Amino acid sequence: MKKEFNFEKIGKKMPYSVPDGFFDKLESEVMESIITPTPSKKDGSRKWKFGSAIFLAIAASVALLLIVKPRMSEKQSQPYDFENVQLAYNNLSTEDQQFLIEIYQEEETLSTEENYY
Amino acid sequence: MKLEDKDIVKAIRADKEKGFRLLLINYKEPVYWHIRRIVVVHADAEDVAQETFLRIFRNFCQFDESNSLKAWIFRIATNESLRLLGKRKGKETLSLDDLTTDVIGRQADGYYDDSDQVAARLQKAIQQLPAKQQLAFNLRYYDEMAYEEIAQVAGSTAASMKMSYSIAKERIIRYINSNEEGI
Repeated sequence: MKKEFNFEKIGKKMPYSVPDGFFDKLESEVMESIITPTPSKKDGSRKWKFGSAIFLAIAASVALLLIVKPRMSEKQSQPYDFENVQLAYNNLSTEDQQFLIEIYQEEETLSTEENYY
Repeated sequence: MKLEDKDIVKAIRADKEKGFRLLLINYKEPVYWHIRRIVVVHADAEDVAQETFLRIFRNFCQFDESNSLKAWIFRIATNESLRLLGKRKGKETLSLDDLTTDVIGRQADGYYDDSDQVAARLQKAIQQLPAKQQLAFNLRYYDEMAYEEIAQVAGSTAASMKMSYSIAKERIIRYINSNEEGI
C-alpha cells in the first residue's frame, strides 16, 4: 500500500554538500574582492590578474612618457608611444589577451546597464 | 544574530563595506543554496555566488527600498545562475522559459550524497518541473518567501506564483508516488 507523500517528513534536506569551511571562505573572498579587487585563485575567475598586469604596463608607459622626456629630433619620425604597452600585450598568451578583452567588455557593459536590476 | 533587512540596508547606506559584510553574513548560505538548487554543481554555485555578491555590492545604489531586499538579492542570484547555464549552452544567458530538463537535470559533482534517498528523490522530482514552477517551489519551500517576494524574483505576479507553487507540489507528489512505494 502506498503511503501518502509527506513533505514534513522530508523537511528541507538536500543531497548536496559543501567543503568544510566553505562559507567562511566565500565570505572572505567576496570581501577581499570588494576591498581590493585582486584576482581570485580559481582559474575560472582570474580575470583581474592580467588586467592588473596590463594596467601596470600602461601606467609604467605613461610614467615613462611623463618623467623621461624623450628628445624628439627632426630625424626622429616615430614618436615615443605605447610601444611598451603593445609589447606587454603581445607577450600575453592568446587566452590572457581574450581575458582582457572580456574584462573591458564586461566593464563597458556594466557602465551601460540600464536598470538591469 | 540575524539582522532585519531594514537594518542591513541602513548599515550599508551608513558604511557600504561594513554594512555589506552584514548582508553577506546574513545571506551567504541561503543565496548559495538557492543557486546550488539551480546549477547543481558546487564549483559552479561557488562561482555564481561570488559573482552575485559582487553585483549586489556594485549595484546597491539601484536597490529600491520600497521592494524586498531578500527578493532583490535572490533575483540577482537567479539571473546570475541563468547566465551561467546560458554560457554552458553557448548563449549569453537563459530566461526562465529557456530552462529545460536537460539543462536543469545537470550531473551533480563530488559534493553530492544520494545516500539519503528521500532527499535525492525530492530534488529529482523538483528538477522535472518547468522552470517557473521549480523556482516558485524552491523559494516557497526552502526559503519560505512570501508570494509577493517570489513574484519579484520571477518577474511575475503573486497570484501566478501561488498557482505555480500549488501545481509544483502536486506534480512532485505524483512524481515521487509513481516512482516508488511512497515515503
